[in-house]
This record gives sequence, C-alpha cells and structure tokens, in this order.
Amino acid sequence: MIRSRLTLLGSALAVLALSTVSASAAGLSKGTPDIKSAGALAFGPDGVLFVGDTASGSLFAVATGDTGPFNSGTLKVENLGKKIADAIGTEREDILINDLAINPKSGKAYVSVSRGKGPDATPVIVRVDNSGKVEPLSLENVEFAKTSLPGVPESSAPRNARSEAITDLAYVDGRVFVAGLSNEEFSSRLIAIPYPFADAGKGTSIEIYHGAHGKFETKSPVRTFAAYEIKGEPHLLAAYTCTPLVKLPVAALKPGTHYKGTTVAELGNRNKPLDMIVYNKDGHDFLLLANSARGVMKIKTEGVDTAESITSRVADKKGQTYDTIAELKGVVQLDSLDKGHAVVLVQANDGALNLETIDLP
Amino acid sequence: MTIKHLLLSLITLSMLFAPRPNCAAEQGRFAVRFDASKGVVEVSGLNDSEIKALSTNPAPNTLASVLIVRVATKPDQPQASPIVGKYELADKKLQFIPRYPFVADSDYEAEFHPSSLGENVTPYLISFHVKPKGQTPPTTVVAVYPTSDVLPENQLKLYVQFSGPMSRGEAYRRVRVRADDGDLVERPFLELGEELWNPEMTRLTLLFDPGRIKRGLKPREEEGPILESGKRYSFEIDPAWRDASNRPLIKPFRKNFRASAPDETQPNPKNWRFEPGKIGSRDPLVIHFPEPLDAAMLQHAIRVEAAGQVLAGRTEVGAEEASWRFSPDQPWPDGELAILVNPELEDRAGNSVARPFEVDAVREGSVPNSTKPLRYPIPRERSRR
Repeated sequence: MIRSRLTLLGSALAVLALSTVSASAAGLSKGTPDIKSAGALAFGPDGVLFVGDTASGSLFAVATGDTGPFNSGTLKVENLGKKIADAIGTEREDILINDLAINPKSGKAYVSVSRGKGPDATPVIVRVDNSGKVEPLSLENVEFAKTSLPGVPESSAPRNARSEAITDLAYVDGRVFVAGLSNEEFSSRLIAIPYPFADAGKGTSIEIYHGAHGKFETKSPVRTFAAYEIKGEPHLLAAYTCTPLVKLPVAALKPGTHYKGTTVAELGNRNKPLDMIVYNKDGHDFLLLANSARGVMKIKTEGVDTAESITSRVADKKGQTYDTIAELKGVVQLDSLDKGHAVVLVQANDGALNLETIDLP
Repeated sequence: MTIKHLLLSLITLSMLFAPRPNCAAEQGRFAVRFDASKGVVEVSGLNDSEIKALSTNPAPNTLASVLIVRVATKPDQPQASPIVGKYELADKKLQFIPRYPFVADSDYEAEFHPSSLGENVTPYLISFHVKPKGQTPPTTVVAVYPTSDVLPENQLKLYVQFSGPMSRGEAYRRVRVRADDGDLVERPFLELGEELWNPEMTRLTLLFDPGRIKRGLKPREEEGPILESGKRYSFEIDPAWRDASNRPLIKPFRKNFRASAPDETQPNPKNWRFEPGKIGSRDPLVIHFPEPLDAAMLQHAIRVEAAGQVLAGRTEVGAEEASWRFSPDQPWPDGELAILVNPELEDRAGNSVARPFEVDAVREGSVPNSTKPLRYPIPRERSRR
C-alpha cells in the first residue's frame, strides 16, 4: 500500500475542528471506552485508532485527535519499555508491549501495553513523538465506538474458558479486518467489520482456504497481514502460521463465504511471521516481514498479480523470492513511517526494547 | 485517635521518610506523605496564597515541577521519569493522584520543591512502599490435557491447567518436550506473542507447530515431525514460571507419554455410545466416545435436548476425555432425546466433527461452513420405565 500524504494547510484550530466533525460522522460518541486489554493496533481514517481487545472479545475505534500535520522526523527512543514503565509507575519487567502502529496522519508512534502480566493487567496506550516524548493516553472522555467480535460459538457452560486472541488488524476500504486465533478450536477466522461500526451492525466471519502442497489448508490461523493494491484492486497479503504467504482480493471476501486464497510464497522454516508492511522502492513494491527467529525478510512482489498458487510439495522456498536483511536483528514490531522509512521495535540483548526508525531496504 | 491507632495508621501507610541532608522534615512547615487509603501523595501545610498561586496557574507543567512522583531509584540506575497523574488542590493540600494506581509491594519516591513556591528551602524527598496484597496460596500445575499417556503423533494441542492465575510473557521458555534419549525436541510449540490463555489465566493452550504436523509442509520436511509413533517423550514444566503474584510454581511438572499412530479420522457422533438416564430420574446421560476428544471443548460443545427443549444441568468429562456425562437439573422428561453438537468439536489431532485436520483438495466442496450445532437423536428405548 502506498500512502498518500495528506497536505494540511489549515491552522491547528481548523485541524481540531476537522477531527471533531469526522469523529461524530464516524458514529463515535464521547465517553470512556471499557478496554480490558490493548492488543493489536491499526489506524483508520482521520487519526482513528483501532484497538483489538482480546480480553473482552471486542474491537474499539478511538479518535486520538492526532490528525496531523505529518512530521517526518525520526522516531527514536532507547529503552522504550523502561520509559513507558516509568510513566505508568511500574517496573520494565512488569509490562508487556503488545503492538506498534504509526499514525499515517502525524507520523507518531502508538504502542499498546499491558501494565502487569496477570489477568488483572491494565491496558495502556502510549503515544511517542519524534522528540522522544512518551505519553500514556488518557482514555477518559474520548470519542470512541465499540463492537464485539462475531462468530463466538454458542456455549452452555456457565464459565466458558474459550477466548479468541486477536493476532492482527488492518483497515482497508471501509472495513476492519481482524485475524483471530482461538485458544480452543483450531480455525482460520478472518473477520471483516464495516467501519463506522454503527452503520452495519456486527461484522462477519470469512473462512480462508489456501492451496498448498496438494492439500487445502483449511484451518491454519493468520498471523499477520497487510493491505496491498494489485492492479488498482485492494488485496490482503496474509502470512499464515505454517509459513505460506497468501493473497486475497478484498472484493472477494464476502460475508459468510469460503474463499480460496492464492499461496504466492513459501517463506522457509522457523519463520513465524510477526509483522508485515508493504512499500515501494525505486518503482518496485516490496514486502517487509519481521519474523520471530529468522530476522527481517524483504520479499519481491513482481508477478504476485499473476502468481499461480503453489500446490506442489515444497522442497525449498518457492514463489516470490526474498532477501533476509542481516542487519535488522531482534525486530519484534514493525510499521511504515513514510515512503522511505519504517519504525521498528527492537529487542536488545539486555532485554531493552528500543524504538528505531530505519531506511526501507 | 489513640496512640495505638496512630501507630497502626503509620504502619499501614508503610511510609518511610528519607530526608536529604539539610532537608529534615521538621525544618519546614510542609509535610509530604503517601496516603495509602486513597493511593495518593499529599503535601500539606500550604498557605492560602500558595494555594491561590498554584490554582491560578494550574498548568500541569507547573504542578508537575512542584511535586514529582516516580518509581524508586535503584542503586546504580538512573532516576526514573515522573509518573503520569493529575494534581488536585484542596484544604491547603496538594495531592498527586496517579493515573494508574500504585502497584502493590512496590517502592516509590516523591519530591516536593518548595522553592517553586518561593520558599527558600531544599526539596523534600520521601520514599514509600505500597503494601503487598493478601497472599493467595502458591500456584501449581493441576493437570495437563489430554490426560492419557498415549498421544497420537499428530497431537495438536496441550492444555495446562494451573491452580491459580499465571503471568503472561514467559510461557514458551517454561515448557519443553524431551525425547526418551534425553534430547529436547526443538521448538515443538507454535510461539504466539499473545499466548493462548483463558480469561482467568489459569489455563494455557499450547499448539504443537502445525507446520510440522501437516504432511508435505516445509517445516515438517526440514525439521521433521515433533512426535513419532512408538517413541516415548516427556512434557516438562519449569517451576521458575511466575504466577500472577510473581511467585514461582511450587514444583516442576512432568507428563510422560508414548506417541501412537496418527489419528486422521473425524469424530462422528453416530459412532458414540449413549447411556441415557431413565425418564423421571435425574440419572446422568453418559456418552462414550471411541477416542478421547478435546478436553476444553467438551466443557461446552455438547448440549442435551429433550422434547425440543435444551436442558439445564451439570456436565462432567470422564476419564481420559473418552466419555462425557450430563446430569439434568430437573428429572428427564418424556419425549425425543437428542444432543446438539458444535461441529467444531475436535479430537486430539484437530479433526473436528465438521472436517478432518488435513483436507484433500478434491473434498473442497464437502466442507461445511457453519458453527450451527448439529442435532443427533439419542435412541432411548432401553431407558423407558
């Protein structure tokens, strides 16, 4: 996805007014969102931040009021985990950083955090700007909307232990796509929720198939995905737990349907995809994929539009080719900043989490 | 207030004054303290003009330079940045209310700068400890499901049940699978940042890496299967794993098991054996499965219907998850008896009632896409009085 940068000519006041108008137009209302856990993050239109809440099985849309102007400065905070812990009055060891998203309107980083590690952990969303300021957001009296995730099976148990972890979010063309992973049944549930939430009620589940290895891989959950335009048509490129990279045209993802995605790449072993972005460099589109163990991969997209599904047994990596970016080590979170840069959260050897801006390779 | 009460409240506050040199608390007219009952830091002794000055210039930056609260500084560590919160002025007092409550059993410090008010005295520094919460019993592993000591080599999940809530973030460092030659199986589980817990965080779901279970997938070709039929393994839990109160587990845990041939058959309720309770009694309905089913899903995937009504009652999962029993709250009514089964109910290898774990391409069209319960009538002739 190539981001078009909005040029903001108005004064700060005009920007503020704009955000208020768009917030109410988007079906948001003022109050304090009862977010139980802040996990996956993604930005929607006009500085609206989508927050996946695994603990309550919900998706929140929160107007950050941060609608620009875009500041293309470098984001860099050493030991971000410690700075966040300081601000929220606890120790670095007692927080978990769950996700990172860059607001495309402002270039500021948003980080979702758990304060505490047990079931009573408090959700926190932190904003980081390019001066290095670390600011936990107050969620009191903000414009927000909430929708609960559909598709949770009926239960007769008084205390259902089932939960669904939200592994990734993306906003594409008026819909929020949510990838979920249950702690019980093994399934591939991609949920599409129209935004504004109020306009369309609950979202629907789409079941994704992808051809692989002479088998239909029916149930493997999606780990991370990114929006990508192929010949002007929005697509999702989804990385699965079992390593394939699959393309899915957004238009075909209709409620209540099965869809058979096209496997366009096999990304090798020990490669648990963590986070993925799409960018353009020198006229070519690339994917940048952070992995749990094998570093960051730069994947060519040439031919992805015409790629035939990989259906044979795979002896080695297949489909789109990639390079591993050796110098990017310990990347645990990744998002696009601007045309030439991405922001990464890097785990250093001493356990510190550093926020860094990198040149797109 | 009696002396005893005063002492008690001082102890309750767990407040320690650690004055800097030339900054004894008695020197000035101010007092800085942590009020444990309200969870706030309070400066008292301000006069009217100081209150007025602070109120008329209530910019957070001003107040934040007068009273700073932070996590206690550790030896050889830089000072922490201030904690976020709000300030309130009332009754000749300045209060700092942290946005997130102070954490139990933790140390903090507060700095009050009278110089910001025009008082030429050195800053006050206090440190305080927040009381630990009441102790709950230490945590232990209660069970690991499946409970059988024979698992199919394509076993998909393990559930670890704890006696109390655990902490997130270290699960994959604390579990391992060891082959009987003593070697560890490398990365047997799918490692997910989210970790798959139940809401109370007393049960963790571990997924064996599906890429090494499914045949023909690259991870399995390269790294081999995790479990191999005929071999013996142990699943081990490191007691260093911390619970929600940051305490290690009472003891290590080990489950020994043998791997058997892969299970590629779907559970089929038509092959289940039913022992219905007698009409008019509250005897349990018992269902025997030909193979163990998913321990977690059995808690809620089957419901019982009699005469068109879903019945309320108590469910129990039997030994080695190979049977299930339902004791109705009310005596069994007459009329047709049936079970409603969630088609997502899985066996140990992830084959569900709706479909097998590995689906052949040719069968694409045969896969239903619904979580709507499937209804199976239960033969009941034998149960009639």
